[in-house]
This record gives sequence, C-alpha cells and structure tokens, in this order.
Amino acid sequence: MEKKANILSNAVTKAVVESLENMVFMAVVPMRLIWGKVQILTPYRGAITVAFPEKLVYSITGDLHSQDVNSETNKALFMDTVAEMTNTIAGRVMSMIVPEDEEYEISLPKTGMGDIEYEQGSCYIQHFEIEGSMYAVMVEGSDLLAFRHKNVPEPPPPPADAWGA
Amino acid sequence: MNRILVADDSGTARMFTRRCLEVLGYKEVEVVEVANGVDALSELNRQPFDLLITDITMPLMDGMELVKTVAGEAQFKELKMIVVSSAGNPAREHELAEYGVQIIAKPISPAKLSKALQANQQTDGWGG
Repeated sequence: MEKKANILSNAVTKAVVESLENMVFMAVVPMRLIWGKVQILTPYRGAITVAFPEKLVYSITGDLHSQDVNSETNKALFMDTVAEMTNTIAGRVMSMIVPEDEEYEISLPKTGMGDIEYEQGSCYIQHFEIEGSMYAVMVEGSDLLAFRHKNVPEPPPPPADAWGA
Repeated sequence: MNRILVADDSGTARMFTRRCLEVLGYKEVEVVEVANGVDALSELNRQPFDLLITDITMPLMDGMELVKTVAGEAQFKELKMIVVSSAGNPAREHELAEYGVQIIAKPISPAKLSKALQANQQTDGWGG
C-alpha cells in the first residue's frame, strides 16, 4: 500500500531550514499561506493569484470586522476576506490592461491554504509588503505575461521652449 | 435616508460597504445585509428601503436580474440603486445607466460611494 507524499515541498522546506541554520545561524519557520485565485476568462486567458501569510489574513480580517478572530472557528471568514481582496485586485488589474470600451470577464475566486495551484506554465510573481508582512501576486497565462513587454507610444518631446528659451 | 439594503455574497465586501457608509456619516442609518438577489427582493418586499447597493455576481439571483426585477415593479419606484462590480462590461453598464443606476468599480471607497450617492440624489429613483 502506497500513499501520496509531497516530496518536493518536504525537500525544499528541509533544505531551506538546514541551510539557513548552518550557514547564517538563523532559525527558519516555514510560512503557511492563504491564497485566492481568479481565472481570467475574456478577452485574454490566464489567472491571477494573491497569496497572503496566514497571520496577515488573521490580522486584516480581525481589523476589518472589529473582532477577535480564531484560526479554527473563523476559517470561512478568512477565506472570504482573501476571496474578496483577490477578486478586487484581479478586477483592477484587468481594468487597467483592457481598453476602456472593451468587456472583460473574470471567474469567481477560488481560495485555498498551503500550496498554490499553478496551471498555465510560466508565472510572473510580484511581492509586496504590508505592515512588515510580505504578500505576493502571481500572474499566469501567456496572454497576460505578454503585457510585460508591450510597445507603448513614446511620450511627446517637451516643447522647444521648455527651458525658458 | 433611513434604510439601506446591501446585497453581496461576500461578508467582507458587505463590511467594506458598511465601513464606507460610516465614514460618510451614515451612522444612524439602518443597514440590512443580504447575500443574494433572492434575499434582497424578499427584504425589499418586507420593508421599505431608500437605497439598494448590490454586487453583480451573486448566487441564486445576480445583481443585474435584481435591478431589472426592481425596475419592473412600481412599488420600488422611489428606490435608488448602486451597483458595485469588479467585472468590466460596457454594454451592461450602459444598460444599468438606463435604469438610473450608479455603477462603482471595486474596490468601493468612501469617495466613490459619495460620488454615486450625489449622482443618485439628482434622480428620483429608477423611475426619475
């Protein structure tokens, strides 16, 4: 009888902890993530994922709802917070890359804890910091990744008398 | 304004809206929250509201169907409506505008909500 094991994740965790502890004498604690993912359906195909450290989600949710939150009893509330933030961020990204007069459609957000699900090959990741905690936004799909290298019109040169000539 | 109905399947989004209303000074207003269009219609039929703030994407009955249903009933003629959405759909936005509905792109903020409320005050509800 065999069972499935995430050998890769276990190896990465062990390698990081052992390396940092031995090389720079620092203790490392693996960070558990709560993530939300939205599929981009039209006019491009792709996905946008937002991943937050678990503790940051607890803090944001507690502040937002003005209540003490508990990791066991408020799991649905944490997921809802991440889903809404992901939905909003993905919608804003699309509103800035799709021409104003064109329609775009995004899926309902899916949320999860731990390993993030990647589906579409290459991925662009951007990191942010909020109150000392890091979070990341991941963009998948060649249609969306193409926006990293788009030709945009050059801004017009300054008028000849810009320097007071 | 005395009573506001907020329809969104996300409790977090409803809380964002409630916070924005508080920042704008609507602290004495009664805010009722529902999670879908069916419950919103049920609340609207149960008691009078001055304003409906609804999401577009909701289970059971989405915001578009809710707006169309409300606009089709004379008893809601004075009700003002604001739609909050993260999807971009110019055709749908045009259709909503014909009902006199104000549209806010997520994330909702006090400034955006204030602007939509001011624009709403210049109409007499969807019939105005």
